Order: sequence, then structure tokens, then C-alpha cells
Amino acid sequence: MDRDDVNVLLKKAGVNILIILFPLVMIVGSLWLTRHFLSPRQPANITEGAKR
Amino acid sequence: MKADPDVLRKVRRDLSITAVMYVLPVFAMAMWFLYSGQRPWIDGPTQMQSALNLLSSLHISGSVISFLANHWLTTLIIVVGIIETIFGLYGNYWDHNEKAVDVLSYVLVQSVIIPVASLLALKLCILAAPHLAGSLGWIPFWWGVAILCVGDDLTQYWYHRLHHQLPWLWRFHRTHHSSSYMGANMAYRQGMVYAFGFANVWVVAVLTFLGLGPAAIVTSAAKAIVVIASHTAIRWDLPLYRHRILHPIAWLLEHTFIMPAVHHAHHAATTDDGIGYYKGNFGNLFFFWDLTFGTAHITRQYPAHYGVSHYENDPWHSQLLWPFVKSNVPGSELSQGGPVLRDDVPLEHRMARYRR
Repeated sequence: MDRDDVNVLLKKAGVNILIILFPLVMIVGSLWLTRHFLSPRQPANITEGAKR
Repeated sequence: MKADPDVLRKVRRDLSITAVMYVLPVFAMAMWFLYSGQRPWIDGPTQMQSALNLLSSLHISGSVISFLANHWLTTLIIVVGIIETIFGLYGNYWDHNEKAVDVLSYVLVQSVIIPVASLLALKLCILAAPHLAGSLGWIPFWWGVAILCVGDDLTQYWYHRLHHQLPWLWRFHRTHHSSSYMGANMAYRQGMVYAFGFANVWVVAVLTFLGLGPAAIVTSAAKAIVVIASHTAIRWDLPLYRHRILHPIAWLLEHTFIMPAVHHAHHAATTDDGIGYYKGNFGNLFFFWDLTFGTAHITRQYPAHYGVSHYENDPWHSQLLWPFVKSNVPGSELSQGGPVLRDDVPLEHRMARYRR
């Protein structure tokens, strides 16, 4: 293995990280948004209401 | 160095389409929740519970599940491989060196490389965010399958495509294309570095950690069946093209899944005959990625020659372990100081070698 091989392996690792992170961000992000926006809203003053 | 504006525009377009594709099944699921009023993260069964309920409703016994989980892929490859051998579909190409590449890469990739990569991805997840384990377990089983089908296969499409289109990545993938034959025996023929980097394996491992494990089993099984069905030397799709009455089925199948004719074209030794097309048809399970991104080539015909036109039987160890082990074939892309990408040579040159 020479220096060119090490360089090409490092470049490949960089491409790999991008190809792995992109779908994960898109899928997990959209799932989080789905859950966030479809969850029932809590009343803003629920704690105060409970005190009274 | 300034990038070509045309290329930049295409990259931006493809990136946007890819982002939409990844989100599409999640968006469809959200619409279903809005329509049905379901909120499975509050009151629904976990994906594991849904999967177990499905298995018990189908009356599938534990021993069948154990077989499917452990041995079915090897069994399928051996059965298809025996049929291909009986009918002499490998010709005289399958010599000792090719056998070593095919068998060793299957055994190493399936039993060492992919398990190690998956385990490493899971360990990294546990180290980075242990509290997120199983946090997506609320996703209904079949929606999980849809999300993973896209997450797994679209990622592999891009991983595969980039290894063809970026010249400096080609040598990692070359082993899969060097065989001069098609068949179940070479379906899992890969270099070890290429296999370890399978981006879809890492994506699926992370999604499994997050709770999509049951769906991942179904998706992986579906992919494996299509991979073998598209690599096999048995041209089972020919009747679909020959009989007019079957053309609607052929059209539907070839616009959805990877069919043998389409994938054989991808493994062709040349693109000059109008049939072979190693510059496209990059999909693994679904073909609509190729149709969407403009890399599809459908002819319903089979190429005359497979492999790499300048292949000279690089030793099995260099094909499996490049760049750690180099080929001793002078001028090979895998040799020390060899070209990053060699030009095609006339096929007569290679055919003469097999006639000797």
C-alpha cells in the first residue's frame, strides 16, 4: 500500500460518511417532524390550572 | 478548478429528488395518520409486537423462522447455482481462480464483513446516543418496510452509481464486474473494502438500532431474492418479452424491479452494441431509481459478452483485498502503479484467451 492508496481510502471513507448521513438525516428528521406536528397539543397553562 | 455549471445543476437536481424520495414514505405515513387519526407513538403496539402478531397469525413455526433467518440465502444460491451448472450456463469461464473469487467473497462478505460492519454501526450508536435505542419502534410494521425499502435501496443505488461514475472509486467495485459470466455464483462477488463500505448496510443498522429491526429483516430478504433473480443465468424473463399477452406484466415488472435483462446489460463487456449498458441500470431492488435519474436502459435483450473487456484473471487475493494486496497482472487496474481506469479493448482479444 502506498500513499495514493491511503489517499483513495480516505476519500472513499469521506464519500461513504456523506452517503450514510444524508438518508439518515432525511428519514429520521422527517419522522421526528411527523411525530412533533401530529402529537396532541398540551394546554399552555396546564400547570397553573392544576394548582387552582 | 471550476466545476462545470451543467454538472452542478444536475447534482443539485439529483440531490433534491433524492431528498424528496427519502421523505416520501414518511410523508405518506403522516398523511395516513392524519386521515385515520392513529397516533401509534401514544397508544399503538411496537413494531416488534406487530411483527410477532403477524407471524402468529400466519402460523409460522419457530424452526421455519430460524431457517429463514440463518440459511435460506445460502440454500437459494446453491439450488439456483446447481440448476445453472447442470445446464452449463457458466460456459468454460468458471475456472479455479473465478471459483475462489466467487466462493470466498460470498463466505467472507456474508459471514464476516457485513456482520462486522453492522455490529460496528450498532456499537457506535450505543456509544453516541444510547437513549435513542428503539425510539422509532412505534412505526407500524408495513410503514417501516416502506421506509426501509427506500432508505436501503436508494442508498445502495447511489453507492453503486458513484463507484461507476467517479473514476477513482471504480477499482473498489471492479471485482463484481470482472466475471465473464452471470449467475447466482457471482451475485455476491465483491471486494472486501467495497462490501465493508456498503452505505445501505450502515443506514439499515442505524435504523435497526432506532427500532426498525423487524422491517429490516423483510426488506433484506426481498432485496436478496431480487439480487439473485437479476443475476441468475436462467433467463426467466424472456417469455414475458416474447408473448404479446404478457407484455403488460413485463412492463410493470421492468418499471418496478430489477429484471435479469436489465441487470445483465449492466454487466455487459461493452456498451457499443446497443444492448449492453454498464454506464447505467444501477438499481438493486427497484428500477424506478434509474428511470427517475435518467440512468435506465431497457432493450429486453441479453448482451453477448459479460465482464470487463481488459480483464486478465487477476489473482483472487488481489480481487478480494485490493488495495491492500495488488495484482501481478501487468497493466491491470489492480496492479501496483496500474491505471485508475483502463480503456476498453476489442472483445476479440479476450475471446481468444478463452478459445486457447
